[in-house]
Amino acid sequence: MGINRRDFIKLLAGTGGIALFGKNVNVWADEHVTSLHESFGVIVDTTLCVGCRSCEKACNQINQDLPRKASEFYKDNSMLEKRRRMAADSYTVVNRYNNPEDTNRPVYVKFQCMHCTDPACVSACIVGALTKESNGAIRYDPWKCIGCRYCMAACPFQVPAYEYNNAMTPQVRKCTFCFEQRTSKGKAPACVQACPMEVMTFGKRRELIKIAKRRIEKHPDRYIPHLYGEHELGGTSWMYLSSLPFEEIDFPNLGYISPPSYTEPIQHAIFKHFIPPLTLFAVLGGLMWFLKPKVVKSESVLEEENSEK
Amino acid sequence: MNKKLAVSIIIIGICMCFFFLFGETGSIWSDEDSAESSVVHPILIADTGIFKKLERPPVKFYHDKHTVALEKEGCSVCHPQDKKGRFIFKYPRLRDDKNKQSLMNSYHDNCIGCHRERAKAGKKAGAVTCGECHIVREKYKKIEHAPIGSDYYLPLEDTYHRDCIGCHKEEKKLTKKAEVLNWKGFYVKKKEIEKATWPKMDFDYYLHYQHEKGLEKDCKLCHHIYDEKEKKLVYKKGTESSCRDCHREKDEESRRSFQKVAHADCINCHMERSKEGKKTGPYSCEGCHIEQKQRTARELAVVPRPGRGQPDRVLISIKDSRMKEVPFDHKGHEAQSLTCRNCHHEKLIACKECHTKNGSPEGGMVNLAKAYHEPLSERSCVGCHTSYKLKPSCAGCHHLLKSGVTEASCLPCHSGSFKEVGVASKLGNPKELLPANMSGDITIKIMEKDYMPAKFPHLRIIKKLTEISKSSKLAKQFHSDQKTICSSCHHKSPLGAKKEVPLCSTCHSLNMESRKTDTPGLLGAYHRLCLGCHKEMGIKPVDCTGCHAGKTGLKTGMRKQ
Amino acid sequence: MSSRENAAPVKIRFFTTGVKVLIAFMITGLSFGLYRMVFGLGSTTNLTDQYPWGLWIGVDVASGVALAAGGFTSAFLAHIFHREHFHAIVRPALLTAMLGYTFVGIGLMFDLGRWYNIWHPMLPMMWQGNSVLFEVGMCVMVYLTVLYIEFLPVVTERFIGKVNLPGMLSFFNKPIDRLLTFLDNILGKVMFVFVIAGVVLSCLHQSSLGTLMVISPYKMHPLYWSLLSPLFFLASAIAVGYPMVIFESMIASKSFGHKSEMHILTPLAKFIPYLLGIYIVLKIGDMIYRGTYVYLFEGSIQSRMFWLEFGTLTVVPFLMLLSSRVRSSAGWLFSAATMCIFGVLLNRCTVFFIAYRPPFAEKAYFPAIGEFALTIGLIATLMLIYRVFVSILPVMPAPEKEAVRE
Repeated sequence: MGINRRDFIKLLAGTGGIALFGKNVNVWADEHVTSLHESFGVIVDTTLCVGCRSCEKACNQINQDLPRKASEFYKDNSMLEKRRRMAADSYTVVNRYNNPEDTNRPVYVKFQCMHCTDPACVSACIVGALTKESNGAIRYDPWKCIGCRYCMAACPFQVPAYEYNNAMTPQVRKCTFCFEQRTSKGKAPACVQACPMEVMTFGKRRELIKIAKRRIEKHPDRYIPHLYGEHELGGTSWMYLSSLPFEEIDFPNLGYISPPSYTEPIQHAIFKHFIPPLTLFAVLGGLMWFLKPKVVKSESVLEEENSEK
Repeated sequence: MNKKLAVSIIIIGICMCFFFLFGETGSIWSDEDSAESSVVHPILIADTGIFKKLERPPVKFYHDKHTVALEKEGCSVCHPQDKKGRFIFKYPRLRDDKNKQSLMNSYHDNCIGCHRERAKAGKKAGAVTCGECHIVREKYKKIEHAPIGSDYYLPLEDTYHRDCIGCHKEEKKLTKKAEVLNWKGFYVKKKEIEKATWPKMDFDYYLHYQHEKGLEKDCKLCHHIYDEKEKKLVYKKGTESSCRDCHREKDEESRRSFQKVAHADCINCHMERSKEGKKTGPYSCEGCHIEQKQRTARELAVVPRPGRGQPDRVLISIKDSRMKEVPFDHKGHEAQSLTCRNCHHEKLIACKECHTKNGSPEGGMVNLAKAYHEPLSERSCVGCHTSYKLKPSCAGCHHLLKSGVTEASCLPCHSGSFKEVGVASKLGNPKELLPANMSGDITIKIMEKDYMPAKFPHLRIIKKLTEISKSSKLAKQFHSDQKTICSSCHHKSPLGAKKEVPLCSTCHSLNMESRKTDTPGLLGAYHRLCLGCHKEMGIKPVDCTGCHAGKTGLKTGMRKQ
Repeated sequence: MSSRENAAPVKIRFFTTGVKVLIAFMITGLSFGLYRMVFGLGSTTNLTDQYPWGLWIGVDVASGVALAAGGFTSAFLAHIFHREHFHAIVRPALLTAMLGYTFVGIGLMFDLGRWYNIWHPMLPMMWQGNSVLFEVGMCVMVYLTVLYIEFLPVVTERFIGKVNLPGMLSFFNKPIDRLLTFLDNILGKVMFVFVIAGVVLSCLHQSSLGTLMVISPYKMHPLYWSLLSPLFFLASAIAVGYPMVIFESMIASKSFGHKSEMHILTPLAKFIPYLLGIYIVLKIGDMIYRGTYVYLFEGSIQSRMFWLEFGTLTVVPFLMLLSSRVRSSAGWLFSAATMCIFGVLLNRCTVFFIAYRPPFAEKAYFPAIGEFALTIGLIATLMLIYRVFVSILPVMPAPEKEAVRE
């Protein structure tokens, strides 16, 4: 090793300087949860849905970049026999579930992106292609996306779909909350407006929670006394009311802790002002220094070689 | 460590891993697991009352398999008999529940011992190793494992508390991942639990009549009361009532639980008669515990009215009551239920004997007013009537109306005398009430700017609803006049104030954006009302073209685009 | 590090049978890779909306990074701890690491949907600091640079004074020679910074690979989800460093016809039980603390994989390596090392697509033939390039000098 004590200390000072610089680097948007006071939400009342799939049709029509599907596709009730999930060409699906209370009256449930309050996908995205807007929508920017699909691995509801068959420009596909076309202007999304039974109620999320609670109180025999999405994973913008237990209608029993609350503290702890890595650096540097075999002979040999060059 | 030891460690390691790689225990009985026949219900042997925390998974015991296999040998193989030779349906025969160890041993000695013997004798036998009975289950998600407390038929609620909640609490401590059960969970899952257990056996009038016939009306064979003075069971005519009158859900000091006595008496009697070659009832589990079929009209026609000296009609009057008396048609109501217990609990006495004005312990602290009027009970007058309103022919209107009692519903009952009962209904000709322009088929086109118009056969609907009302005694009593029929759709409107009722669009706005409350807009109001009623009553149409007959016949998207 | 390494290019016949087999794998793999580029991921892989990550992430990316850990662990031992005895293994380990990480990048290019945007994380406007993958990406990028810098002395040593470009390019001989000498001088002084930085960066991204799946607690099997996951990944990566060194050293010796360097590998193997032991204690301790040992006997695929990758392929080699006989026997040492390596490989695969249980999957994921082909093809290519490098550059220790060392 060709360095002396003076240079070593200079280097140590230099790293300290980096630490100071590191203090000002803030790549973390800490405000993303608190500024959602006025965000929108939707209550989906599954006791009202009749499975007409007008919402699916409206979604297909308003999103110009989706392949247009014929009306017959939405008329075909045999599609409801198999449980479907969202796909690259359909941002929302309606599924039918058997109602053990009354087999003649199945329960229909609409699925789409839940637009979580503290989204796992937004936290996961390496380039920030997924962002949480202040009105609650989670937007996807294909221009930034590198196609790593970490958002798909992170989403607890397994919502994002991928265009695996697109070789050159595959995108992540999911419900946009009609951000561009509607919700950025305060209007309800296309599916909400199209529904003839007015299954969905659109409004400010905190008001919707009150409305939902009142509804449950008014009809205790109709609903399970639980608003799914009020607290799950830290809250979601799309919330559900149901007469059947939520596990039976494909809503996983999730805790109240949002997924980023697990990973972000770990990341923040490691990179807080870069102190832990720099500390490790210093420790290793110290080890390297102090464990250096202090053999005078070899030092002079090295110096000889250096002067030779 | 030398090479040999290293080699042996490696071999042990690999073997251990292979064992766990390819060995899933419990494969022998797992065929039963997948056979989802609703008839074959296992009994779950858990005995957590004595074992407390289980070291191994509970055992699924298929009783009917054993009754079939041991048909020749009979019940005495497993069950002890008393001095008279009657079976005591306790298991195992030499049951010793002093402590955990002794109970475990008695199970193992009886079960595995018998299996071993049979296997030695070359007969078809059951499991002998641990994992074949104590089957490891991946997830206890579904209520397939609903226990019927094998230590002698505990009632469902108790089993839930002790076995379900207890086990989940243990699991939560272990893995922090078990679902924490609570009372809400039970009532939500009660139907599932009941489906997975043996269906409750209902001893209705029909069965009682079969027994009367078969035993030639020898009431003392089954009915008895306990004479305190002589300290024994005697029969006294006129005191016959339900077994549950004395024999409750749990064992008590002086009397055993209902389940115990029912199984002991019924099964033993059936078995004795079968030995004597007489016509008798079943004595296997599924012989009695089957899904109760609807009794056919023919079956019910032969059943005479149970004769216990009950009145045909009563004028229910309560001392110091401020409401008028209620004329009660006892005979008519008898025909509405399959057992007396539906109203009379277990005792065949008047409600007010136990349910006093202020409530008493005999009446479960339910006071008289509540006993008659509680809308959520299945026994109270109001409660039973409320559940009738959920029938498809009634639910169309009634699912929208608030459940329970309103001021208007007092008078039809509290009329003070029998004069009003049975009088022809005041429902008249609907056409007379309607203005001329409303009596035909109406076309709803208020939203025709955006949506296709809908056909609405107004008069036909009212006529149909009137017809349904007239055909039901209960409906006739309460649907005091024609306007009652109108009030379900024209809700929250004063009827009879003017000739015309307010428009729907008055409260249900056309413009979706302006909604700030929970009230649906006009689009949702129409569809929820119409489709809701059709769904509840099970009638058509329920698809779009049924009402919106468009030229193109579009099924979805009635929006004009 | 210093120019006084006893290393020399290996004189071998390049086109052996083994090499021909590797070339065959390489061509197959790369043709599937081309197919993926032209026709998309859907036609080459079995990835679905339920299973976005598969073999390529599990093996090419995650295992590739873990198994290239030999680079920083041997650098740590030889340079930070100054155990000069192990100097000879540093360069081969460094080469493995360098090529390994390069191929992680190449493998990633095939897996990414929009591979042409792979440079996006370098732009500050696209930094998303909350993302674990962001940290992995940045650290790997920087570390790759550090590895190239660390490897530079090998190049300078080989070409200083011997730059001889053919024909027209011989004009550049002298400038290149001067550049190389300049670099050699600087690097000699500052290399320690890069060595330390390499260790720090490695610790960071090895652990962050473990943090990746912490974000889906509800979709991971309890045996494989823990808040200590980063620690497990770091510990196992460190633990597999020396087995990797042993593994490739023995294969290289066999391939080049040298005797195994047991005088270095046996003392090296002495460290492995401690490192494996730490990993095992951590993992078992976490299992007891969280109570997830109840899942060990449920017979599911995840619990069986746990028994295989942890039980057979981690605990058993740990026990084996406790014995000095195992450590001094070439055959046993090689077996133990191989078991460790496969243990870590299976562990990464399990975490990313076996213990990952999406809520609505119709069937479990199993890689397609194209995925296997490309993965094997990339590994074969790596081995081929390794062979090329060691025959041109002074990476392997010079065989005749072995007699000098004790």
